[in-house]
Amino acid sequence: MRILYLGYGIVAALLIVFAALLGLRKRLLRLRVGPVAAWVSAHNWLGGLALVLALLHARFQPGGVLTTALLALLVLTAVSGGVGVAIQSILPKLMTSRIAHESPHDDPRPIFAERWREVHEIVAAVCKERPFEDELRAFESACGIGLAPASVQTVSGFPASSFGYAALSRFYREAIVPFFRTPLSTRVLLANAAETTLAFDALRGGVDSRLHTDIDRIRAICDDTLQRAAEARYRRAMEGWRLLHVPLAMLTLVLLFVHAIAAIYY
Amino acid sequence: MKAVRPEPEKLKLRPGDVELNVTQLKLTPLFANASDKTARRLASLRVKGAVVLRHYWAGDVVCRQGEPGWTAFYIMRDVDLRRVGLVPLGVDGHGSGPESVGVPSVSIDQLLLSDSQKNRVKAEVSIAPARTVRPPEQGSFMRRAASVFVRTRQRKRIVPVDASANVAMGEDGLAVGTLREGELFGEMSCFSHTPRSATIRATEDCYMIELMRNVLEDALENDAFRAALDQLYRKRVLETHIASMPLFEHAPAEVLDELRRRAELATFEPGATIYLEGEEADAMYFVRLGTVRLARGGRDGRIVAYRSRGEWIGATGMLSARPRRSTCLAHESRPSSNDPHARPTVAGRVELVRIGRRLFEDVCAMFPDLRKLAARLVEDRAAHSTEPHASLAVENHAGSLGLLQAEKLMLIDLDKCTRCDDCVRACADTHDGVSLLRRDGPRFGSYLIPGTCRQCLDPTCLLGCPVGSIHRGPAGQIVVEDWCIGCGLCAEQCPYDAIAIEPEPGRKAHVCDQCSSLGDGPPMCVYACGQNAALRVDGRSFFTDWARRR
Repeated sequence: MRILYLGYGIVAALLIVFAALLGLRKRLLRLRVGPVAAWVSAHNWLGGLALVLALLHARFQPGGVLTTALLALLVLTAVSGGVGVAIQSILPKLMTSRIAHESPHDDPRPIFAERWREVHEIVAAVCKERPFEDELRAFESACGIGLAPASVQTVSGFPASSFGYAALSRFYREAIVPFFRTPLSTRVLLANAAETTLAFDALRGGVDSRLHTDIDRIRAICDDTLQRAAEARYRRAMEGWRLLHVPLAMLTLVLLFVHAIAAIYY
Repeated sequence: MKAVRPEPEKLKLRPGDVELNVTQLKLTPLFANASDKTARRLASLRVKGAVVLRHYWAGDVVCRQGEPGWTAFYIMRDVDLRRVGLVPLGVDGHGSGPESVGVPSVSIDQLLLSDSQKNRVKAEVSIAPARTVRPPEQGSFMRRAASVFVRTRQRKRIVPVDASANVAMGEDGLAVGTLREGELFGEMSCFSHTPRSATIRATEDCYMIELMRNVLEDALENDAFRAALDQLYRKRVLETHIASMPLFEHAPAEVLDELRRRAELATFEPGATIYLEGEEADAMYFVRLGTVRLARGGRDGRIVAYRSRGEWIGATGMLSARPRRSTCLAHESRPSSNDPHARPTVAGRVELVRIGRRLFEDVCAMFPDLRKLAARLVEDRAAHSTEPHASLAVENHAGSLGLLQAEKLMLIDLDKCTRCDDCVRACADTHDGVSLLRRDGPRFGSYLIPGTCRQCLDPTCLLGCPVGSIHRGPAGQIVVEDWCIGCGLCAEQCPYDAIAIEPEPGRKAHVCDQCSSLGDGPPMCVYACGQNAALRVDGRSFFTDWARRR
């Protein structure tokens, strides 16, 4: 029986090592050693099997500190992996149904900076002022994009003295700038589609009708940014679980190595 | 859109070649017995540099499969050579220099129709198959195991080539045919600038006239030459082509002979209507040359399919005695969508073999089983009908997205894709850091159609390349050679923005080559996808199944 339990342990260790090779496989994409999808599938199933075999090896008992820690890490790794599989099964469908147009870019920040610049230039042309100019330039610089041209044609040609100027300027300062500062945050006003609609409708109702075209343009830019932000959040969630799973897996490998050495020598 | 680049202005002379003048041309079968009108046209035609008598030694390659081609070739007979003042090449392959020009009055029948089968074989046509069919004993274990139980019937496949030659794909994957004296080949490339469909190699020392499109067009205006070519076609390949249709596969020789004798040959200029949707289906057609377009909802309606050399059209309608379900047009390449005023790009005439209803009824009387076969064919067609395409059009813009046009359409199943971009990175890894795949494009249902080459059935990008650097590779993939000058014409003509032009320096077009350099197996983008979300599919079959499932 002892040999059987030892056998469970050896097979479990080999499966864990094999499962860990997935990361290497993904970095060596040119290698023709089987489609990555097959590796992912094997990683998932054999990883789960490794947990079962490890539990059998431990006879479902915690044991010493090292083995208890190893077992706990293995369980956590498997659970985080399971969560990852669930996330990667559910979120793509949600994302596809909720985001009509996706951006192919990895980093959404340059898009946010561009959109902010577009809104900024419309507001500057209408209101004849450039609030938060320095902050926007710093944001653009941090995103690695050059400065946009300063002149933008506005449709309304709205005189700064007419009513509505102050409302738009205030809306820009209090609603739009906070949104662009932290576009991935869900706590700002414009992060919510329903509240965005209400806010823009209220703004539209409180300004001169000649300003409506410009406000609609700003609204369209904000809506698009909202979509990009939602997309970035989905992508972050789809990748984020790895921040837990990979370190746990690496720690498990280290402890597994220590456990094997300890078992051989002691 | 930039103007379409013309073909090379003149043919280059090589050692041993002879540039023919109008007088000599009139002595060749191309223009012998030409009408006064054709003769006048020929006299006013710019032939200098447009027609060359080339000397090929045994083993010389005349043209290679897949290469771009702008010219056609006529294989000279000994008698033709004497007409133009040359001594025919002897058995040792050495002829003497030019003689005095001979007597011009020679009958076209004597030149071509005496008995073409007795003419000497002068060249060999060979096709390199895109995928070699492996015998079961060389396959995987599963394949070998399956072969024990399942014996698939190997059907001899006729490969349509740009010549009056029978080229059949054997079980060993080799396809070779022969060309004889007095035959013309390369018409399709000459008219449509399509890549050469086969490799032609001289098997004996011989002379061939290489002619550019303007001269060929005038030669084909010569009714005598045209009739001779048609008769040659009937004699050499029509019977084989008819026999390649499942309906006539088991027909006895006399039926095939009757069809060969009475089938009509019809020519259509680009854009001409062959038949209209809703009209009586009184004939079926075999495409001998060129490409036809099938559209529903009128001439400018949704394109259902393209049919080209070697394919059949209009058979189901005639056999089921129902009106035509689509309009059939001789295809003309359309201008780039960027410029609606641009003129259409180069396209060639369409030649069809027409089998009318009366002829079909007559052969049915000779071979009664034909009716049963026809009924079964109609049933089979109905089961695999393209009707789901109609629902596709209703569902979305399948036609405008060109999904049914694609032979290897890249799709990303967004319900599975985790947006990790491993596909894009794998593509860049494989192509020296340049990704030929953008994970961006229109959607069709839950599928993203990324911006990458889809290997169109009708690759308009191939048309008009000034240096002939873009062509189809052996597996059908689009290949841009290193000598591309980066003019961007192919990119402008691609309706799907699948060709990228690398900016200065080293300006060059880049197009997805389906990772053909890596050998067999799926391209790297598909191979690297961990979620099975990246697919390469045949657009027509995939979306037909998709529509049926819905």
